[in-house]
Amino acid sequence: MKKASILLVDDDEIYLYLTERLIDGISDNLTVKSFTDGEQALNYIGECIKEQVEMPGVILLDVNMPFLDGWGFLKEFRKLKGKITDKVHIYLVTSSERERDKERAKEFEELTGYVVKPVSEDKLVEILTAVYESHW
Amino acid sequence: MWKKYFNNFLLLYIPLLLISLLMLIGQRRERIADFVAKEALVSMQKTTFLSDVCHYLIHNINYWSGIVYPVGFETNEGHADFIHPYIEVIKNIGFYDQFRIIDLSGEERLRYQSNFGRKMELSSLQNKVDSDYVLRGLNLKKGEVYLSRINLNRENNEIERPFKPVLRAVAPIYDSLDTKVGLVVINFRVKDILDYLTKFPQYGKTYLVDSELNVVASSMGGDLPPYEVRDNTEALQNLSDVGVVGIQNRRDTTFYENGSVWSYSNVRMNNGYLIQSGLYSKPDRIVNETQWAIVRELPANQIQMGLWPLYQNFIVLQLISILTLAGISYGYVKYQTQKKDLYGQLKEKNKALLHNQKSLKTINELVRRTNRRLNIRNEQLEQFSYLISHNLRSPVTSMSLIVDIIKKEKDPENVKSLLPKLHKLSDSISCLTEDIKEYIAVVDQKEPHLQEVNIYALLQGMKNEFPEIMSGKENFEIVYELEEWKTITSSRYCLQSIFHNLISNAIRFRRPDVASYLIFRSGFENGRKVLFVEDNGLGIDMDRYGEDVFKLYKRFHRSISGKGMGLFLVKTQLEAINATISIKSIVGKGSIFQINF
Repeated sequence: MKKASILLVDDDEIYLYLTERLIDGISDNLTVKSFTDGEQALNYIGECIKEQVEMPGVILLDVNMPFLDGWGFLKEFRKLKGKITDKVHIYLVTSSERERDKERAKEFEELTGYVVKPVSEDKLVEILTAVYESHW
Repeated sequence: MWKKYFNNFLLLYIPLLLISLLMLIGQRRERIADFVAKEALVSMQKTTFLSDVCHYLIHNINYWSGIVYPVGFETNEGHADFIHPYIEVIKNIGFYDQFRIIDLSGEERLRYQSNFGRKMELSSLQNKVDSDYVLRGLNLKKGEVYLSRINLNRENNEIERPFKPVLRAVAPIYDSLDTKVGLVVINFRVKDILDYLTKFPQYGKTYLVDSELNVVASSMGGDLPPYEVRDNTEALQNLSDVGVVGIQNRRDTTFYENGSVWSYSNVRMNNGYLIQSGLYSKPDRIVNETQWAIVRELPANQIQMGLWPLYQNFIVLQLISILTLAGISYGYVKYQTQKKDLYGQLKEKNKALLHNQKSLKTINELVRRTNRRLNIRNEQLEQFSYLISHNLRSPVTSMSLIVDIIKKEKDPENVKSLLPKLHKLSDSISCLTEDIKEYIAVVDQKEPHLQEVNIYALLQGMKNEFPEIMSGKENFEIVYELEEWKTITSSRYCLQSIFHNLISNAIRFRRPDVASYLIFRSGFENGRKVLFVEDNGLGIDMDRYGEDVFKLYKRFHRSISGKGMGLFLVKTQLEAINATISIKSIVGKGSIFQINF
């Protein structure tokens, strides 16, 4: 069985480090990739399409980032959707519980969920279970 | 108000009064002319009546003079048998007062006298040789008749009492030889006739006068004829007092004088109804002792009575007019006053309304501006809270997570490896704190001090802040196109900070392969000042970053370091001085910032 692939997009390097650590601790069956802004993540998605590499099953996407933020990423991702065959579950991750962000999130059908930082182990397990149905 | 009212009333009433006065005068004149015409007619009728009466009497005397008397009739012996049957006829004729036959010597040969108007009786003879009427009668030719004055009967040269006004008619008589044998003299009683002639004084007075204007009969009543009874001058008093020339001239006339209508009409023997009758044979000549005339006087009081309805109508009309016009004037003045008041009130209200509108406009403008500022403030506050909640929360939660891990970690080596992470977190927190401080410094500015700022001078003075420009080595130039305007009322401090950021960005994000420039160009948009800041730098991908250009911690050029705060602070500072900023940009060509003041 192939490994479940998770993509982390966040400009907070400590968050990336900690979350990677968490995922490593959960299962050996999970691979993690991370980028510090939306633009880089988008470039990676573009690469995947181009190289016909399998897409990450879960993307934990931060809202506030330099260059291209979470919303910008979602907009650009929407443009590429036609070329993506795999199901990609995108979770918007933010440290604020701003109503405005929650409302805006509803406009994107590409989003699977909305997660408020800190992302705990339980939360991660819940997400992975929902996506992979324990096949990880 | 009252003066105006009175003036209005007079304005309406005076023309009406003048017209009605003219009408009154006209009507009065017409009415008096009516009186005059009527009086002339009445006088005429009365003279006609008197003429008819005279002819009737002449007709009577003609009967007697027409008889052919026997020769020797004048003697006492002869006449009795002849005359007796005739006398039988006259015995009961009421209007004969006396019937006499007088011979040529003036002696009465036959005398019948009325017994107080009831019956003719023989009476004793008198000598009448001195009587005027006998003398005048003796001169008469055949067919001629003499009419005396109307006067009181005298017996034996004494006025008979009670007074008896009589008119004597005399005619000569002839025998069968056509010899004049004497005179027939009849005294006619004329009191009834005169009464009839002068009755109804309430419809004007009537006088019968003779040639000398002696009043023979008058409507004043009393004994007849007055001129004989009273002093002649006194009798004439009421006529001569008038002093009317028309009457003195004794010509037919009717006129209005001194408030009375006077009419004078001569009694002419050639008019009347009898004279035109075929049954009546006119005498050859009528010898009148006097010329009678009818004088009519319609006195002033009777004329006034006749005119009274006119005056009455006039007064009633005036009263109605005064009441109506007073009402109209009052209504009009009231209407005008109310209109004026209303107009004044309206003007006042309008003024107040205009004033209110003006202040409302000012208030509205104030509200609008305050609202805008409040909105901006809200936006800024939200930004601030977001900054705190998001950017501060992240490192803090991370820190607590690391602390948790350290607590659980048994291996000191692993713990040690986590320490740099903690250090990094504390660095980022202090960095964030600095940014917040800077942002608060901008947002929390007191009301900026406004002054006249010359853009050109300001920019020139800032040049030395940028060594890249001063050195001249970097191939970077600032161009000024400030023809439209050079100075603006604004905060010098804010403008300086804004320009610093913009110039700094232009230098940092220039294209190294071209000669770079930054143009400051002034202009107007919708009457407001606009400043364009144009560069030929790297440009920003507007499709991708359009919404984020002025947001915090946004960076668009990976190769060039930066915090992503510059344009965010530019926008915040512009908001503090009520200005807005927008951008047009093309990647690889450059950007144009537009600042609307």
